[in-house]
Amino acid sequence: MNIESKGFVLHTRPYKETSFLVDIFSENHGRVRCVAKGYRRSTSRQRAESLSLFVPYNFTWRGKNDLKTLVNAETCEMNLSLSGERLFVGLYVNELLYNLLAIYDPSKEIYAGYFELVNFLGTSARYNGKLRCFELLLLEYLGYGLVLDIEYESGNTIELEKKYEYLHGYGLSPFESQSENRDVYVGADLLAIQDQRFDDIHIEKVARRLIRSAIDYQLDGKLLNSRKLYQQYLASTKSDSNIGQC
Amino acid sequence: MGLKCPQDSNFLFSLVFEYMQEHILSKLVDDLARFPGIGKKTSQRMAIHLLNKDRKGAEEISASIQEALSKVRKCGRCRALTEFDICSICQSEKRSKSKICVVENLQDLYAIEQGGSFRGRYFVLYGHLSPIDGISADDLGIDLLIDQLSNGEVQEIIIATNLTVEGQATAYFIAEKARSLDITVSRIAHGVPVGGELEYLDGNTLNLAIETRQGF
Repeated sequence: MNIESKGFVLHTRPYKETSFLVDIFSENHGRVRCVAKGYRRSTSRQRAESLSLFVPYNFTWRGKNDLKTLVNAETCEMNLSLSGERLFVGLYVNELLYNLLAIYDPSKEIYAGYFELVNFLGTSARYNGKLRCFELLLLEYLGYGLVLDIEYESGNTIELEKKYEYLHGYGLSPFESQSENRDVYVGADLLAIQDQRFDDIHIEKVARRLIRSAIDYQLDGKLLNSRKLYQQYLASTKSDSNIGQC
Repeated sequence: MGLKCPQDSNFLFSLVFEYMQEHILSKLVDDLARFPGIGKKTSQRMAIHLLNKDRKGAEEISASIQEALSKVRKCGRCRALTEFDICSICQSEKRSKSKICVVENLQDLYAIEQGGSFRGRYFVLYGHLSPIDGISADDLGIDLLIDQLSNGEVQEIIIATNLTVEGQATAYFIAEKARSLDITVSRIAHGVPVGGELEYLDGNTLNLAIETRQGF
């Protein structure tokens, strides 16, 4: 039976002589792995609709096993091609989803967030706030949403002037001066992150540090290559390397 | 395992001999199936042909592979395969030293050479940047390329990576490095193929062709 869904390609990898193994992020079925038979053949009919990243498709696949067979992929909307810095941000988001989302675990919320973010990256250079919002949404979906208004042990509300550290898997804890090498956050910044006030450059920077450590915790020691690549790319551009880091 | 009876010993020997024969032949079939586009059935035909009908040819193939393996390596400048330290294209005095064309694979280099219009030098990446597959700038020899761009000879770099997202990312990455060295960066054009009819083109290619149109 054929299954249809809107979706994006997260990753393709050559498979045998003329095929691809495709990781699809679909609206109705979450991450799906398919074999796209014959898609690498230069004379292929499907070649006209080549599988590209950051392009919304109407996918049709079939199969009973975990590895499905891609039947058809048609672009369903205008292609917004990402360029320069934003292309590297897109690759970062794809690697994040590839590593953190389980297969066949649908989430319309994450799909909608991804769709919005990709569109935003295609049209606007000020993507930092949107990227942070998407990362927070993803963490929440994974069950590790950041609770930034109360202390995890006492349940006390966060005080604006007080300093806190974030213990992953638990929550915020008052910062004790004895603890060393810890990331410390000020209460006012944490509440601003909770309210997603990322227009403020300082708040966005603090949020980036906090979210990055939360994502690293989720990745369990695995390093994101796209993050390194993005930083190498920024190092060779003349743009301010403090803006928009993943 | 003490085999006292000579009959037993002969029987065992014949079994081992049979097994050895099958083993060598089946290994050859398996090894020939390593070639791209060659399945088990074809590799079996190849093995039988080489051993039955063209044993001299088989010896020549074996010697050629041995020689190529010991002598052919990557060119120290462009990373194309060569039997010299520097390949014939890089050594050629007829070619412009001021232009470098960057390609993803050796096959791409041969394709451009077949076109015959480019008379500069090349640089072969052997892949494209792909974070999920763990392919980084170091794996593509981009440092070696940047070293060559820094020596002052090169004035223009033509990036001919594939028009996939990963190919584009690789192009942007190299372009920024080259621009920081004040080198002109160009990208091969993309759009309607020669002899192509618009009716049969996909929407993405047509959009790109319209966006990157040229004065006429």
